[in-house]
Amino acid sequence: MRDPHAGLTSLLPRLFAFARTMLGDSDTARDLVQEAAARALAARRVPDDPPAYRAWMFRIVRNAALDELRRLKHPPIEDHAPVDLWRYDDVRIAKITVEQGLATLAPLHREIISLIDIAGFSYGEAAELLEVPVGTIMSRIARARGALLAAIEASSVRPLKSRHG
Amino acid sequence: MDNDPNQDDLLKLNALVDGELAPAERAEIAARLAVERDLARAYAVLAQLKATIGETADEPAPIVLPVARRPFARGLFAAAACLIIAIGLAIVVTRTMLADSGMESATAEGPTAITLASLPAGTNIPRLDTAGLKLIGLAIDPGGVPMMTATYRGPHGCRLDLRAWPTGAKAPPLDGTSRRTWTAAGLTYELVAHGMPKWRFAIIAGAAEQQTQLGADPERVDRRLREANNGLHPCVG
Repeated sequence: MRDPHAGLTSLLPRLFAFARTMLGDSDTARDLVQEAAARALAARRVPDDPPAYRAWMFRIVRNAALDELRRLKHPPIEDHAPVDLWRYDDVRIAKITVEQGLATLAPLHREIISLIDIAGFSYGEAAELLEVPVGTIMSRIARARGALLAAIEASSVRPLKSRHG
Repeated sequence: MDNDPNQDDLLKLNALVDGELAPAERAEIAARLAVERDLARAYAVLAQLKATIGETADEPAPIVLPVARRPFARGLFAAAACLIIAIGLAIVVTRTMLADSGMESATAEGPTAITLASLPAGTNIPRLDTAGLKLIGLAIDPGGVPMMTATYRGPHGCRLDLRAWPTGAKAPPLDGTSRRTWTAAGLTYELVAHGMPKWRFAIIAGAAEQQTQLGADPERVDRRLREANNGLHPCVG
């Protein structure tokens, strides 16, 4: 008999990254994913096919993350002003500035970036998970990336020269 | 700025970066990217942003399930959870270690080159994920010799730089330990490695070249990139 949780191991890094981006804290994300994995393993009904299983696991983690955000009563963060996207260069878009920028985004923006760019969901899969039309995903990810670029611009942090090799 | 992309263009650029545009829309915006420099730069920025966001997810997940307070009746579940997650962590660590040495298992998705009809026009950016190399940088220099530079990196040091410029122009030299140069669709491509074993570089360069050619067979490219994952040689140098 096929193990319904066979895909869980490969999902863990993305689930953790998703939760970390949503919550902005590695320790809380680790605890949350641990608990979500335990709940999943204890569930009586588990989706059979891998895409459904992946969506199911992300839904569990997402709901837990939203509960945690509500518990912490994070204040809504205002959208950043529109920016000239193409004034950025690849030196400024470095990992550290992206991580710090992500931490300042509104939860809705962090969530969609996490799903598309970190978890690797297609627009259709993200739409199904969030129960919104695909067009909403399309506009939401565009706004979220614009907000992230604005956050990077607003940051006083400038990245060190990246190390290659 | 006078030439800001409008909201509709931004939606399309984001969808293009995410591989979500229908072929007709993709062709339409690709044609515009070939002549609209600001649009092309915005595309490059978004591609770079997406690649960097992906990098932030590379940290292994330090997950160990707590079992001490679990009731006995749920012990099996807890034990199973611990086992699975421990295996998961082992796989994560192993994949991280092996990806750079060429042994990472191939992803399910076949490699498909990103088409960047920008500067230079009609540039293809190969995808090398199956060989464990992620696109981490993308820059367009419209200077004296219009040039696109894409940088790939493995998690433990392997690095490749791919440059493309109009055939006939002279590009500045770039240091590296291995290189391969070819032409396709009026462009000269140069792939430069930094410390990668030559046998592995040869396979990856072949797959990269194929992706820049019209009518490349994705399955064949995918097979070649998988071949580049069959070794234990790290990148040194």
